[in-house]
Amino acid sequence: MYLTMIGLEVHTHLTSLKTKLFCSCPSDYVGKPPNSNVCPVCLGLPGAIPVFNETALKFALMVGLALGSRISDRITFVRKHYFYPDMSKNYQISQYDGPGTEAVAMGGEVKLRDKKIRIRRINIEEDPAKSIYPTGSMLTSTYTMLDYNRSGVGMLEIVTEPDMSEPREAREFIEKLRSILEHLGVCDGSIEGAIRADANVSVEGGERVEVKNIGSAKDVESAITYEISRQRAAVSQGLGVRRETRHWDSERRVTVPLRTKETDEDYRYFPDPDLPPIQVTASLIEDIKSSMPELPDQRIQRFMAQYGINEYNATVLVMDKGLADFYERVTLHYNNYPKVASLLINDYLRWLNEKDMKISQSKAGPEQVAELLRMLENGTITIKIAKEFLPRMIYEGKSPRELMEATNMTALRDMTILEDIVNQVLAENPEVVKKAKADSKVIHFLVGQVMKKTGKRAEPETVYKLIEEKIARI
Amino acid sequence: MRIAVNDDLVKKLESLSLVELSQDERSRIRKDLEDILAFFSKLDQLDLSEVEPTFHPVGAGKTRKDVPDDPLPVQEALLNARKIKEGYIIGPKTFGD
Repeated sequence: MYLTMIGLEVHTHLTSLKTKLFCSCPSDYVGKPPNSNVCPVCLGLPGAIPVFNETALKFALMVGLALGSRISDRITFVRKHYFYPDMSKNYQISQYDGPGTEAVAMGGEVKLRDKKIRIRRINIEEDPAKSIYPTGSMLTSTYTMLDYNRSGVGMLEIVTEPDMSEPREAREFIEKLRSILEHLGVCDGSIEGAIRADANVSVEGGERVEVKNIGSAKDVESAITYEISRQRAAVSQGLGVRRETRHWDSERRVTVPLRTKETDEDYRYFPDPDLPPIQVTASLIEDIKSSMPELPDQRIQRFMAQYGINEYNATVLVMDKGLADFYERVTLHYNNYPKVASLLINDYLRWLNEKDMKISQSKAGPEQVAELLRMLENGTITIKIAKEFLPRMIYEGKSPRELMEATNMTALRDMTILEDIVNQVLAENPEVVKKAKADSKVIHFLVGQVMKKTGKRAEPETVYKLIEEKIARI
Repeated sequence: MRIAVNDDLVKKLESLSLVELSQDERSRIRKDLEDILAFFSKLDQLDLSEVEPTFHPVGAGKTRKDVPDDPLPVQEALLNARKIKEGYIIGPKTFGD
């Protein structure tokens, strides 16, 4: 058994900001023509003076407080130097832990199902420009096309300690963090590229490898899984794992080497003379503390208490803020709360995932879902019918009543009709009936035959009981 | 802290600054670096053990409201770019040597 250590650096855009971090250009850069969302500050033109966005400060403090970090008493900015086409001024404005300077928030933790992941620090930093590779790949392109629309957009870099040991934990960490950020209202994780991560992975007997720029929680799990098996294979073959930076190729689902890290890169951090420190006053922190929204862990507890659902279901709902909000809207119209939770988690989500949809893209609103549950409860439809209706409600926006009228699918509850059909099925399958007498599992086959004949309109439990009784009498 | 000025240091500075010096320039830079460090070494005579490091000479930075303003017109934004293609600024490749 190899010991595996995984640490993450999560970069999250503060998508709720209206402007960039140090200039008044709109922070909403998605879909705009290249280089149409820029000014002298975010283009890095000489003499342009950056001025810090006060809402970004508030957001950073909110995240620090939510993760239980120690908040620095002043915000300092440093220049992190590197030469790369995506950073025209040859430095990124960032934060650093050194003499007289530290990150906005230090320490803290994120609680997962069965362990706590410690946070090392939270940095405020600006995003660089977007690089487009004419061949589609940085590996084969002979030049880079640059769009500075994203340059200067506000980000937080959230760095963990290497406390994770499985790819699944890394995915859960990102999902939990995303839920926290969404509950705080600072980041909409569903926007493409809003949350990206670098993963540091090492296995026993090898050096640490950094995998850069992974775009989603699912891909973080895949990239780390790939990297662990690659490293374990290398170690077991006696090849060793050298310290390097790799790139996650999300198309080919592999990591490829970027450059060999011989030593730590020398970024020559120094205080940004354009940005004097900003004091964080106790009253500012008190203001933010008193206006903090409900966070995922609190919401899970409330869901269990208020709606009587179990911890697992409460967690699944709250890990996706959109889903949890939707759940609460359905409960306004229908009061069997555990039934709502189970329908959403077991069926509704499945159809969304089938087409890779977000809950906001679903055409079935809370009222329609409540109506479906009510029709199920009063026996108008069966669970089978409900499961048939749900995808059409989600994809086509049809109401359950409309679907019932259009398909004539209602629960078959006339017992004389049902008994006729059961008798028919039993008569048609004498061999199966014999077997069913000896083995009750075989009854399910007969139930299936009845369901077929009734066009799925019978209630499976009722049919099962009916067949059971009849067989016993044969 | 004494910094050893030698060929390795000059080579490291070359690679960090992405410049290549001739042998002659290297020895000149080495001499300059020694002079600069000697000049600043005067600071080493002060006892700073009780002094907090100064991060910035100005104490109170300003913030601005999160209110958007119009960006530059594209033509103006691209004025200083040496090479442009379809509205993008063209830069060097970023992989390999």
